[in-house]
Amino acid sequence: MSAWDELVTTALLGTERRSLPDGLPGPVARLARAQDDRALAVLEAAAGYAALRRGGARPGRCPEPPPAPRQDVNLAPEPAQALLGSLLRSRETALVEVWLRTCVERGLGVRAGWWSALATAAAAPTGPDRRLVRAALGSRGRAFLAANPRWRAVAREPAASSVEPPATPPETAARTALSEHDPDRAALLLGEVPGPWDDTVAGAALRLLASGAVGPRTARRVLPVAALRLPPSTLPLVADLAEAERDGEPRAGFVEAERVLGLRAEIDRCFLPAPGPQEHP
Amino acid sequence: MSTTQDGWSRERVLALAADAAAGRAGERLAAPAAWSGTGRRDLLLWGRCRGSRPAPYDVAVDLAGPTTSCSCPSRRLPCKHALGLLLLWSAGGVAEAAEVPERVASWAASRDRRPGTRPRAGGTADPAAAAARAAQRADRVRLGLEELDVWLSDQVRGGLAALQRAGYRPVDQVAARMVDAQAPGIAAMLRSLPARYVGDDWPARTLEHLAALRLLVAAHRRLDELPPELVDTVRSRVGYPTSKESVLALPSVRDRWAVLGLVDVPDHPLTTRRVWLRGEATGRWALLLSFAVGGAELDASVLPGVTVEADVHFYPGAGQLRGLVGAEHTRVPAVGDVPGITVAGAAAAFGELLVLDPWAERLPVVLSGAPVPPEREGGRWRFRSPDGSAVGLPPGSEAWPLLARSMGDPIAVMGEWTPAGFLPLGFLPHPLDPVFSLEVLGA
Repeated sequence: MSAWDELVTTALLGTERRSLPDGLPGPVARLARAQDDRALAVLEAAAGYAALRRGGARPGRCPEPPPAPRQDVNLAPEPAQALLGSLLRSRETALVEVWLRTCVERGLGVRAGWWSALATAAAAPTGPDRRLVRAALGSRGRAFLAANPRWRAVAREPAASSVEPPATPPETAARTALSEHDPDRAALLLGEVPGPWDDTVAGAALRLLASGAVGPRTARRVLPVAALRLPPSTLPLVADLAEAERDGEPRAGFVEAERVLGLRAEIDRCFLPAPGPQEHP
Repeated sequence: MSTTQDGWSRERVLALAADAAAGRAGERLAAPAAWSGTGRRDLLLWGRCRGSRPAPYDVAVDLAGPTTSCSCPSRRLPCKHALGLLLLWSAGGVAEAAEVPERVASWAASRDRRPGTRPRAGGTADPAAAAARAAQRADRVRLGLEELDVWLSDQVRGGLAALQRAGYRPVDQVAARMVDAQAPGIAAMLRSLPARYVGDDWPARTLEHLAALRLLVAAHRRLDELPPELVDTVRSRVGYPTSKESVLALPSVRDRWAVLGLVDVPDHPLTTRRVWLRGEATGRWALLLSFAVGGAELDASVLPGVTVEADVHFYPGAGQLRGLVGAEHTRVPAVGDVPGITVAGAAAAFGELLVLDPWAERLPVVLSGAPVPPEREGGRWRFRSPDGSAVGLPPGSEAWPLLARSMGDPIAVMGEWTPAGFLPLGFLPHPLDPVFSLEVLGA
């Protein structure tokens, strides 16, 4: 036991039960000897000892961590990175996925500041597509994912799975539902048509949802999903319908669809290269 | 906790009420949530109370009378708002302020001009009276610290095990006594003592804290023999007030100050904010401290991520980093490169700070190095400099956001160096992440 440990033990038990230890360092022992009262002597010695311990503490040593791979993707432009931060903070999982797809399609990557938040989001069962996350993080980011046991599932490449396509494509089933005068079911089936939608599917979906035939609950469920798949060119039409909804028209869901479409347009804008210097004529 | 301020108990305040109903109404208003902008300086007490009207009522109290002022329409003196403020203060819910707001100073000055009104502390009274008040305060502090010395030695005589078993109550009682003795710095040190009663090494940390208090008592006893800079340090640690005006009257340091870190420390009902600035040219650190009681908003005039060209005035005292921003010249919404030091360098710098201020608990540093995760789950993260020296991060914290930026390569991280380890606060721009960020800890 060191002299400091002995001193602490004396203080712990009390000077009524235990005397001051021998072997205190010279300057500390002198401080203790200057006091007649044993309790004060312990406090004086402890003050001196604490100064020695705190002021003279040597830092520990640590072996060098293994080197990480070099990054193999260039960073997405800063406005896009800032938008990703805001989408992550507001937990807009579907739009984070749109952002990631846009980023990966351009061969760009996410800056390291967002890796933790993205990994945490992707580790959740309802998180963004893990393949997109892995691609956007690059080789260095994938090594980062592998370092945390909670994110290893995100880091792993899944085994190839063979998903059987549905017997009846959803757009065909939607047409059937329409012919059977079941607009709510038709809208829900249209919502299952994978994106991006071509003009035909987009036109059919908007006509149906704007017709007033679909119930408000179904519209509120389908329109945010549809907004992730509609072509950007439909934004003015959706904005008009949203304006009507704001005026009290009984067509629900268009305000949210306008917001989602607007954010998609913003994601596209953020990835555009910065304009070069303008030439004067 | 029940405490009193300068002998003002709840009963003494309620005795001022015109009737029992006024007293009850005052008690209902003695909650921090009802107040904003509260403060106390010498014998003046003030605050704004939310009432039935859209604008809050401005309340001021001169404890010398006491006399009160309130913008409410009540004709009762004192009104329920003044009683509420006095009760809130008497319970320890009003913090000491560095300066008196203009409206309160004007009210106090208008009272001073009346015939027969005696001047108050902090005003433009004659120097002899001010010296007498200062001597009276020093005497109170001295008596309080003598009591504390007896209490400290009693704890070591009876054993720290008994102190720990007794919990918060005895420490709170002696802290309240130190508030009465006008030694709020000592009271704050005492209140932080029970937080050391946990962990395997609690006896050592508790003994170190008691020894630091004893050292302060001994230093205060010998103020006449200490160098002037150390006297200022001891007075500041004990809690003698230093007015904002006197600090702003001291020479300033003009520099481009990068604002690199922020810590909010809630300690009900008071929240303390520490904002760290580093001068680009001087390499000097400055600490901006602000306080808020109850739900009041903290000062947000200088926040991390900006560089401010300004004149900073430092509080007096050896090793003191606390300052005030005087004139501000320009502000840029970015911080530039800051050279980092090694862990070994930071340990040495902390040792140098302790020579100047033996009670120092933290040192702001920018460390260069890489975070290293623990080898086993539940272990402690470390921060390693390129020379191999390493320091532990706070137990239980995870530095994944920092690891993402580093992945073993050196990065620069601003934080607080303490005897217990390094608390990262800000990440400085790096080629793979060129944006300053306060997101440094967490999963």
